[in-house]
Amino acid sequence: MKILIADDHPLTLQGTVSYVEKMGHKVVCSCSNGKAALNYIQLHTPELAILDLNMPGLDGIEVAQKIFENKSQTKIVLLTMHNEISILNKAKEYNIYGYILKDKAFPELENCLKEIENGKKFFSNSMHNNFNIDRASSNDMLSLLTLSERKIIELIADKKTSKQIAELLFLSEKTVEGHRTKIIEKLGIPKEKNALLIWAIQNIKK
Amino acid sequence: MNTFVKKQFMLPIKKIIFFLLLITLNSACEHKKESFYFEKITPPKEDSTKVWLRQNDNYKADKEYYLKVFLKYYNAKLAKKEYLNASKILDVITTKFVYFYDFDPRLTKIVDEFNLKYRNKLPALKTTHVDNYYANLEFDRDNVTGAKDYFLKITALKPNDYKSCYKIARAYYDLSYAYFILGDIEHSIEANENSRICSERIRDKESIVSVYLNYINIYKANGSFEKAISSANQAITVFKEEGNTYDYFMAKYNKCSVYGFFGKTKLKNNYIHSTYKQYLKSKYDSDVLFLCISDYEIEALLNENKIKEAKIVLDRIKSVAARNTSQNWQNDYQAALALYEIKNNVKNCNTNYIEKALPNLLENENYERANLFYTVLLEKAKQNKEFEKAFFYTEEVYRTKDSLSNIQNKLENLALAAKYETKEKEQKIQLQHEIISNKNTTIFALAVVFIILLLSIAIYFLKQKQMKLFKEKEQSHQFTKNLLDKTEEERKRIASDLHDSVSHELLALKNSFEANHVQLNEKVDTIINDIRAISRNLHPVMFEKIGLVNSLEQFIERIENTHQFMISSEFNYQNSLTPEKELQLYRIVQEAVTNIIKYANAIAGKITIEETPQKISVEIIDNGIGFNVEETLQSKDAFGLHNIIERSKAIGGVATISSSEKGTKIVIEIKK
Repeated sequence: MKILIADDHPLTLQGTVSYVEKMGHKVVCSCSNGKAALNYIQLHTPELAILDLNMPGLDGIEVAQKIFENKSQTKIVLLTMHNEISILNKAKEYNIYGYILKDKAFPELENCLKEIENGKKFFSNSMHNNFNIDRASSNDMLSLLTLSERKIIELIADKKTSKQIAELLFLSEKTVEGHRTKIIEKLGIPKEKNALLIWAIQNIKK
Repeated sequence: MNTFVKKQFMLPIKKIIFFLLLITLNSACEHKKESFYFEKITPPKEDSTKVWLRQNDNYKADKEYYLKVFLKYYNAKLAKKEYLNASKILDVITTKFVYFYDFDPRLTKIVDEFNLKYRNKLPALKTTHVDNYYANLEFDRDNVTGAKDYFLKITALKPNDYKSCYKIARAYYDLSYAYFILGDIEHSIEANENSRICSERIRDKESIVSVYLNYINIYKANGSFEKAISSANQAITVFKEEGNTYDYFMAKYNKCSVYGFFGKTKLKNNYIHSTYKQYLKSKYDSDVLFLCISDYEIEALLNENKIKEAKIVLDRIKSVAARNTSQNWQNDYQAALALYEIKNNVKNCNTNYIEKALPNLLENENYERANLFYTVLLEKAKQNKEFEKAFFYTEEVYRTKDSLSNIQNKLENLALAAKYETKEKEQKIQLQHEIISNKNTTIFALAVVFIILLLSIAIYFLKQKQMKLFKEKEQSHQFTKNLLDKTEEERKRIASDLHDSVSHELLALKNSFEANHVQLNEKVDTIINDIRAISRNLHPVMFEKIGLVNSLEQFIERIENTHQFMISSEFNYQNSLTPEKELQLYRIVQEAVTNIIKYANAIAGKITIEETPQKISVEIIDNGIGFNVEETLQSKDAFGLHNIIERSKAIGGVATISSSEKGTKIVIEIKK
């Protein structure tokens, strides 16, 4: 693949270029700011552009946006230190093909390029578990549940009705019912009357 | 400390205003007490029996029943020892009977009994009606001197309210008439003037004009025809205006008597004819008026030799005269009857009644009626051509006429009356001056009070504004101080975060250089994550890029994960605010959520952003334990809340914080 790489940090840029070339791709352009990158892309339309997020002039997302708006064929991969889903979500709006964290770049960038060559997209695996959640104390089964689901089952153990739960959690009754179904599925509780209530009372410590 | 001092200062101002008001009110009241005038007081509602007894129609309809009702009521009051109420009802009844010239011996007996047994239990001013009744009774029995003494008993008292002043005014008026009949014009004028003064003190128009009724007689006796007529006209006009029919006709009757006295027979005859017709037409029902007007009418008709017409009028009053217990009107009727008979048939006419009554009249110095009787007898003598008798009666007629006011005194009395009139005018002018000056002082006092009030209100509001400003200043001062503190705290936190996590991790990394690759990798990852967290806490990552809603969603997710606290959200926002304002909103939400987690003890929270064409409202609610908003805002550790309020202000919005034991709600509204 013909690849453009942009990073304002020369050492990182160098590293990325050599890493990509090692994998057998051709780095057609390496630049230190967004503007230069955009210019090159618009002129030559390389197959892939690996962009840093924080750059002087235009940043990675802005470049992605411009390319998306120009309907350029160049595929964009963002390479960044920011482990933020909000940024990923924003970037996805511009149809990027990859989001790689710099600290996880060594295995991930390679995987990413492979996926893209196969026509797929790749987003860093470590995006979602960047919180240090201490779940050692919680029930193993409960760790399967999301926060909302856990709150709901706690309230079920408190013998609250769906309506009361909905009020307490500022949710609609329908949403609560949906969560109940999911909980039953996740915990493998038999579909009997009051089975969830009985399970909750037995398993939730107060 | 400062506010406290000010509050203490405010209190005396209020007190001063209050005292000033009290003082002015008090002085205004005292002013009234010293006043020349008595104000009419609306009496409390009377019981139905009393109201019934007050009505003339009830007396006229059935006198026996009327008396029975009165006696029952009166005796009941006496039995209950309510002497004042008994006296009051007796007042009503005696006034009524006197008005109808009805001196029923049964009533006289009751009055006698009251006079002996109960009168001493009551203040003199409250029982003047007893003397009034006796005076009128004596008057009717032609004992004018006796009547005069009773009236003097009343006028000796000093009035202390409207009612007593009214009674004394009436007593003076009657006294004046008694003096007039006794031929003591000087005292008559004096009493009449006193009646005027008392009437003016109660500002009773009818009472004031009654004075003119007496002046008709006084001027008449003094031979001043024009003044007597003008007094009569004045009285007639006022009574007509006031709608007082009784006194209106009485004034006309008196005017007739003036014409008669000055020998203007034609004027008199014409005037009485029209008055008589007018009276009949008015359908006004008063025995007394009917009798006296009829008497004059008969006299006039006989004078014009209309004997038949005179007979008709005479027949009309026959029954009325028969049922009347008043001797005065009996006398007048007998005089008219005698006159008619003289005209009709001189030879066989019966003047026994008149001749018998004369000595009594003379003895009691009732010269007016004696004069009337002598005129009748003179007429008879003339008709019978008994010249000796006629000469004697002529003498007597003149003697009695002069006795009303002897010629020597006439000029003196005229001067006296004139003097009184000037004196009265001066008095009036003086009174007006007094009233004007009183008004001026009242206006001045009111103006002063008003100005003081206005000033104190202005001071009060200024002080309050000052206090408010002071409070606001205090609060913003506190806010700045807190802001500086927080900045320092934040720096301290960053320093310690960097030192505690990053430095230690790096140290550990340095120590584990010899260790294996995997361990090294993990260490580095930890450091990177730590720095990420620190950086994120300082400023939401790429906030300007990803916008408010995305940042908030991430914030919520982070809070849910780190604090296991559930926050639901509902965002309806079209990115219409600038990134700077969005950042402030983000900070506000951050502050509010931090507060919920720290203090609210809530099960869950909710963040809502609602955008309409007019405004954007951000709402943060929780179902925690709540807090006292007012109290907390005043306290010094409300930096978080003030932070929310100040930031809202900074972006042109308004923050509303409300809280109860069911939870807290913070709403920020920004108008577009």
